Amino acid sequence: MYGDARLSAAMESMLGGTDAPPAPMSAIRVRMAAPIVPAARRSNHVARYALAAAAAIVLFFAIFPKASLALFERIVVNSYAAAHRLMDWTPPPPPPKALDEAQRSQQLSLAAAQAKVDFTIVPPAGLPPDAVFTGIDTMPALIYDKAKRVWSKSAPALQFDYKRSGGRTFSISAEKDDPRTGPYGKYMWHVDDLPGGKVAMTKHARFIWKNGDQMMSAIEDDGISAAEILAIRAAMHGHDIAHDARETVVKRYRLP
Amino acid sequence: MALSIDPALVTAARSDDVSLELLIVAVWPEAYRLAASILRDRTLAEDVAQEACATMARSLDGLKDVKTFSPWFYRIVSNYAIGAARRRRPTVSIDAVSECSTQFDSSDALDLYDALAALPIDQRAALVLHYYAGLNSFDIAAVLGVAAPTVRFRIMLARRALAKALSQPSSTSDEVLSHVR
Repeated sequence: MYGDARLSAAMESMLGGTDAPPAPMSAIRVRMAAPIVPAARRSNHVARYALAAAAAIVLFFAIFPKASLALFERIVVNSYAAAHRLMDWTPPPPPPKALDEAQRSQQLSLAAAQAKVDFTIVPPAGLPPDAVFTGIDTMPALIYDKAKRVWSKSAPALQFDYKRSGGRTFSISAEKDDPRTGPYGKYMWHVDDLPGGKVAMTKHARFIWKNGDQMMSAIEDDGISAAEILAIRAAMHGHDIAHDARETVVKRYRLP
Repeated sequence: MALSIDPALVTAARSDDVSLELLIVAVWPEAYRLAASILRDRTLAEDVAQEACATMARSLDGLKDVKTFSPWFYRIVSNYAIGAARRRRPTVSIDAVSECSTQFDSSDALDLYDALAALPIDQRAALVLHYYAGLNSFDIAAVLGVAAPTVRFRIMLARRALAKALSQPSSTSDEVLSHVR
């Protein structure tokens, strides 16, 4: 095998064995008197190709604007889908219209709500002193089975709504805890439209706890603080939820 | 490193024409051999070596540390040799090959010469600069105008190609890269 030492020795032997002619001092002196000729620098091939590609794309856009936009859109959509596939997540197809339309939000009493859901309702407790209960809304939900690739109707989630002093409102959600849905997100992003087509994104902490088979969640915002949510959870003796990410076999979607 | 020059001679050459001439005479064979190994053309190698020696003589005042003379000089020679190799048409004189080959008395060197000849210029230059001139990947990167990891990769490819050409089992990538600093 040509190891480092043998390679160096062979190289030494090869180059050392090359007879060099005598140093042509007169020719070198002539060159020393001449202006320096810079050694040819290597042009950056990558930059050259990138520039050529960019120019070709700009030209294509200029000549075929409509086709270019369609192509661009297709590339973006395909890339997005490919990225999701790489992350082991395939976007579900739209739910069947019949299922979608059968689901409508309703305002219910606690007893009526209990009849609609498949978990035992534990109502919120330890609420802020100025909170006034305004009602329970059902939030229709559908379940998408990633393995079977089918949508199915799910028992609705519930939303406990409250109003507070200063015109503030907040709500607390309750639904059946389903370990198959994987871990729950710790944050929610609120997106506000700003003038000029810009958007402002605000991060809100999401608190989740469990009582029996009920999973309750609340999001801190102007209507309720994180401390107040933690007080509710403590008053309800809620437990932590720890779902294994590997158990994400179904995805539950709440419908708007 | 093949080139070993007394720093005192380099210092003296900055202000003394006789010392400068002695320095040129001392470095000339190395400049020629390095250029010949990269170019594989004696006429072109002599031209490159002359230009490199002239540039060295004119730029000697700009060398900050005389102890780094050898890599600095190798860099000058390599730059000119690689530039010349890229400018010329990619053909090899059969005379040049046979003329050079007959002068080696080591069978390893004979095999290696043929195997080196088949390498692309960038890989050949990287290999010669590393194993003969003793330059590290950062110095070679400065000479070739590429990143140091690229140099290490080229040396790995060159070694693999050499191993194949010499019908030797190739080292693994990790082994090869671990040798190059």
